[in-house]
Amino acid sequence: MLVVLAATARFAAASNVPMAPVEASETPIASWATPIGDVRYTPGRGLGVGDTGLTLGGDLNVTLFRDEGEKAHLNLDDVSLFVIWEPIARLRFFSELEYENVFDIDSKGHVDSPDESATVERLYLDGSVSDAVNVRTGIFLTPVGRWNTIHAAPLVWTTSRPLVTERAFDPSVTGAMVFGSLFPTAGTVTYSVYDQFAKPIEGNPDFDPADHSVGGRLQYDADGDWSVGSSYLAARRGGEWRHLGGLDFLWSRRPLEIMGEAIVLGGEGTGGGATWGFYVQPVLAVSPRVALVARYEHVDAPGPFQLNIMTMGVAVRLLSTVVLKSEYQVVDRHARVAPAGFRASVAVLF
Amino acid sequence: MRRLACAFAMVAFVAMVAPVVAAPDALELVVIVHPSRAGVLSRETVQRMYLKRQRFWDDGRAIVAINQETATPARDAFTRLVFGDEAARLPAYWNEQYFHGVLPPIILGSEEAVVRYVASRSDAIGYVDARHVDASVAVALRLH
Repeated sequence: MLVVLAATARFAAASNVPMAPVEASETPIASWATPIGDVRYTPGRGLGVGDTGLTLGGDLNVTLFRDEGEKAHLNLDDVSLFVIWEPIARLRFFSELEYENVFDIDSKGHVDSPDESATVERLYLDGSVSDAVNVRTGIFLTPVGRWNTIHAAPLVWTTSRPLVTERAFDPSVTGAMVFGSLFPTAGTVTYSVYDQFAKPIEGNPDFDPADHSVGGRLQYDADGDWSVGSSYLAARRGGEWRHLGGLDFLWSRRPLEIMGEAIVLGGEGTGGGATWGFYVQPVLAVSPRVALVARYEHVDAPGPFQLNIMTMGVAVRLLSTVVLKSEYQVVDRHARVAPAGFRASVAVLF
Repeated sequence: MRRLACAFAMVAFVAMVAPVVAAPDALELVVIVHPSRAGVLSRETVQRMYLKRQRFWDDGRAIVAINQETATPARDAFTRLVFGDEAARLPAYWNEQYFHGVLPPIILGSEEAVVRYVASRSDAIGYVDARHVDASVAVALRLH
């Protein structure tokens, strides 16, 4: 797989293909003069409400999938609404209200609304003292690895998600975080340290958060084309502590980008052994709008649970904020958490 | 004689073509700040400010980075000179930032507006063609 990608990369590099469309999503397509300033809508950057510092936006994702041996489904699986309010430079409020699985139609014409409830995916207030010291309180995405913090469909290259980025830890934390950026001679170092001390205001009955968790993340971004990160999370459930460690990287030199994450989860109540796994995902831009995507993932849990998952696909960026994805996933054994089959989706940032 | 004529023709051709070829690079772009912040900024620092990775000046005031309209000569030159190969990743970068509630730098519609804005606010930073600079602002970085 890498050999094929590398060979194609040489061809694409020769034609100097950028990784993404260069048009910026900055020009409003609608504007209204109001007493509180101009109200402007910019695709992919939301509706700016005059001079209030308020912006409304969101994203949505429609998926077509057919697991091997099953019926095909068309699913509006995610509509998220953002509220961003930055009244002053040192204060930012952010919330994301998410509707998942809004409707589902299978190939027999059966229509369903699997989950009509809305969940508060994020709800927090950021206070900035300086670049190095910021405080976040509320519900925020758990800063473990890279995928979890950019998991929105328009931001990732595949419809499916690696197991190691979602099943080993809670996707969000309700508590407080101190985070910031430091600027050494070259590059940027970012850190975060957080503590979950409250139960989330969640409408999702499937989400069973840890009783208490603490964690931290350290990331180095070179000014050029690579970045590495490490994460640690300790979570207590029913009096038992589990510890998760993770490493991740992103390397990018057009037209090739490679991202990967690895985690190890151990501690009390893990069934007598550690769970570990990793994925590596090369992406090759073959034109300004089209990218080939491949991903290999391995998951190894205590007992007879080892999975090897291979995903191959293509992503087409119709606009910088609209992406069409198609992929096929192969798994070396039957697993409900990672079914083999075809997936395609349209994701829009609005 | 033929060689001399040939050489003359070549020199004449270069003299005619060179200004045309050099035209895009003839734009000297300068990064400007309020005169109270007179000092030199590195290209990396300007890049961090325009990516909103660095959000505060050394004195603790919030940075207000000013962009120009897309597809203008100054914007294109700034993007190329400050971000280089990373420019192609900027839309994806701002998509991610938007997902975190961070919006790109504000845009002003003309070079004169950028100069006036930066001259009036000590927390602002902008960039313009060097020909538009006057004593009301200070040059923090020259980009060639």
